[in-house]
Amino acid sequence: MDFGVYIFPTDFSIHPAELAREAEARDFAGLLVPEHTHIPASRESAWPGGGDLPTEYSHSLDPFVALTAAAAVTKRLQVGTGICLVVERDPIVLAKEVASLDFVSGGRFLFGIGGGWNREEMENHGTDYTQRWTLLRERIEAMKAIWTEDEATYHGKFVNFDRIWSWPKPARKPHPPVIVGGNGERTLQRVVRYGDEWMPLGRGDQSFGPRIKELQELAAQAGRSPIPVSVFGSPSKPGMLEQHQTDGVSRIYFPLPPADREKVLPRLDRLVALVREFNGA
Amino acid sequence: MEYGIMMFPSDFSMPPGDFARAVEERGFESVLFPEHTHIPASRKTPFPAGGELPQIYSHGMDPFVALTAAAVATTRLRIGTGVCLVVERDPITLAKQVASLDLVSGGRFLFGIGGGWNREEMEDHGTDYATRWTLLRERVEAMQAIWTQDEATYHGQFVNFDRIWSWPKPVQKPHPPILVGGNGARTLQRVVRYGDEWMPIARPGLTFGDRIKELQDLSAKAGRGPIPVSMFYLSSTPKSVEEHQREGVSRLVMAVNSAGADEVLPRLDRLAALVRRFEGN
Repeated sequence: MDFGVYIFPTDFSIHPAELAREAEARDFAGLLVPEHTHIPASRESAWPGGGDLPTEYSHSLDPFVALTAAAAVTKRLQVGTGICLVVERDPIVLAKEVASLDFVSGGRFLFGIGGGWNREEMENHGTDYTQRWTLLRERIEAMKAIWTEDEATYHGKFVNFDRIWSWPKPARKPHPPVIVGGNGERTLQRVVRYGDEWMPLGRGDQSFGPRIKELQELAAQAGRSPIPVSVFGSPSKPGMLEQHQTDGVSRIYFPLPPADREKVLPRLDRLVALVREFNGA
Repeated sequence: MEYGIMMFPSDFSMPPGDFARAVEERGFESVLFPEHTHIPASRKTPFPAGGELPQIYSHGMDPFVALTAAAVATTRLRIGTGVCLVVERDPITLAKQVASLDLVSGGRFLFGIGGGWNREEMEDHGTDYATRWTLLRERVEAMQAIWTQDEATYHGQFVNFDRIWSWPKPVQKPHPPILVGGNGARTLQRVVRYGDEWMPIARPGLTFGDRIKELQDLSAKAGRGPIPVSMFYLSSTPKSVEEHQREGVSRLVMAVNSAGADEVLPRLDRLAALVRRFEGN
């Protein structure tokens, strides 16, 4: 099991390039950033986290800009979305953004994706909330066609194009891992259908053992090998880390506060100590 | 006169960060990267420059990824799009990308925009060629609202949203300069209506004195000050540089082929020598 961190990069937090350098210097394996293209002021959709929506949700940087800055100043650190709102983005543009970032980072991009929860936010991008999972699947399939074929064609219910050219292709073959986020009932089926990894949200002391077992059974039935699992957010307790490891989790991402370096760097150091304790060093 | 360099970064060119550093080291003011989200294989729309479409058009990187890499590798260089195909991008997402890049670069972004010429390319993004200029204007106006207002609302024929929150705001106030590209009959009206600068393409034998005068007359009638003119400059001879300066051009952007360092660096050296000769030092 290895460890990464995630942060909302904002106009009031540490520069993503500086954070990336500091995370790599401390041997973290990956840095993830989430995405909200904007937040509708109406706030009709309840935040799944409960209570008021934290300020960073409306202040987050575009993930591809933040992650390119992170990748440009590092050599080994993986950089990824956690998660990218594919239903709010044009798949032809997004395919090129992913491929370009994977190319400039030398194959270090992790493509975390999710369905989103903010109905008004996706409606401002023309997306019907009730159709979002079909739209998400079609866009992923369309992007895979663009990444892997010299001349890509895709026809679905929502996504349609004929014979298009788009390079660069991603550095990682066939494409960066598509990491499906979410804890919902049908998430595991989606992971097996079009994902390469699963990334549930860590919730308190919840163990993912039974669902990981179910995931691997579904994978085996589909003729696939075991699917890696990362947990997005975990309590910083050695006991919980051991639980996740026993359950078959291969990577844990710890949250960092969307704050300046004076707050973020000590937090990184405490996480290093926690990981060291967990590893028995 | 300011001097900029344009190159289309690709999977066969110098990496955009290394390229930008080389441009900054040679004393140039800016780097511009163009955009094509993809190229439809049908190639029904003829290439405006005539003949076959060069391979680079389908191999160009996403400009926001490439420009972020360029920004992180440099400290003074202005970085910009030349041009961004606004009619192929979602304005809420694009507003955030522009603002994020302006933040990450410390206010160095130049937002070159254009209407595009490839009808099938824009159709793959759901854009009707016949109404592209209205769409472009509405998207620019919508982004200006997002950049400058805490709670932005926009209602047009194509772009509609109510009361949205989006930070970061750009570092440059009120927003990065919008350089409207193009040589068409109605371009100058567009520059005065929603642009901050004009960016025509120089062609052999074409002089711009009359049109720049017309632009400044239109600007004065609209109660605006003189509008800066940047020019894509394709035929590098010292004589025409001088001529363009007399016409009132304030930035010349010179093109470099998308190629490796062994070809690009000597070309940059020659262009730097040309600039020194012209500036008389």
